Amino acid sequence: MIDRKHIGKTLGSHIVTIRTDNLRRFARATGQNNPLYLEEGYARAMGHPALPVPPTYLFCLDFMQADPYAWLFDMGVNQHDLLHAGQYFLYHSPLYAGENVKISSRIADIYDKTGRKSGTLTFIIKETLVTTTTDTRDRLRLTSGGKIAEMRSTFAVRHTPTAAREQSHA
Amino acid sequence: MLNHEHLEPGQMLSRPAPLRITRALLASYAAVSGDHNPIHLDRAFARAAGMEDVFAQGMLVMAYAANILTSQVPPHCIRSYEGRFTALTQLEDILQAQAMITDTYDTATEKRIDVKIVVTNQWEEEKFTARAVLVFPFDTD
Repeated sequence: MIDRKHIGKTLGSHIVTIRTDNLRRFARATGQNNPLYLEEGYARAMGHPALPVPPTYLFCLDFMQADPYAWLFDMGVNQHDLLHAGQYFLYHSPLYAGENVKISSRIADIYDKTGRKSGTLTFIIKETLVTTTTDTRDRLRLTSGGKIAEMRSTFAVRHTPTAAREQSHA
Repeated sequence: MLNHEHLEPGQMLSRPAPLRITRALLASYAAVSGDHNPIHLDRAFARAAGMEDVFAQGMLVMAYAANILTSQVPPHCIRSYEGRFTALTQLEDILQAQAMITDTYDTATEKRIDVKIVVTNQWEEEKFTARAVLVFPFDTD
């Protein structure tokens, strides 16, 4: 059982610099063929300051820290039993290569749900805030307190490995 | 690019090229995403977890599905993107995404459209469903 005392726990923060080569590799690995996300020259010609960050790359920024699974291991969650059930992104301002962002997370909720096929799963909701640390005159960013995006990740922890074979994890 | 003068509920967005799930693709997604969870990379680990074999990272599927948005509107026009992984995506699945406008409406500050996205494999088995909110007009800043 995952202790409910972890609800509300802050998971610290880290700072990441967005790199052009990483964005390009991400675009290639995810089937992106829009040159806006692959070619810096094209992005500039289209009026962007650099390669834009694609919508789901923000999730990867959270993994760019020494031990991205430590917060789950600390709660006693085994990687064998972990499934990603859902993901939410809310975008306040676009983000570009060359910028520095701060990634801060907290555990928003933990609850059990019992399904007919899946048995009991424990859901962990993690909320992550992405803020810019780059000095910017962008009015939109100043009014939103440097907020770039908010994420909410829903993880499901299986209690029985047989649940996985039936693939009813969500 | 979507034409913001002709947006109607029921309208389909053009589909991105299908994506075939291979071990090599899972390894390259792990490398670029920073998520090295062995359940997507190591067959023995996946089997110990009760799976047949490794399966795709959910976020690879969600990233692929987002191409339907990034091919249609500029980056700042995507307001939100929320999805559920409804079944595991297996090796040799060939993913295809489709998207449909479900609503167009005004808020106090902006004009929006809601888009429903569904990702299936080559046997029409649903893997991922999502809703995205886009703001228009789709001007480049």
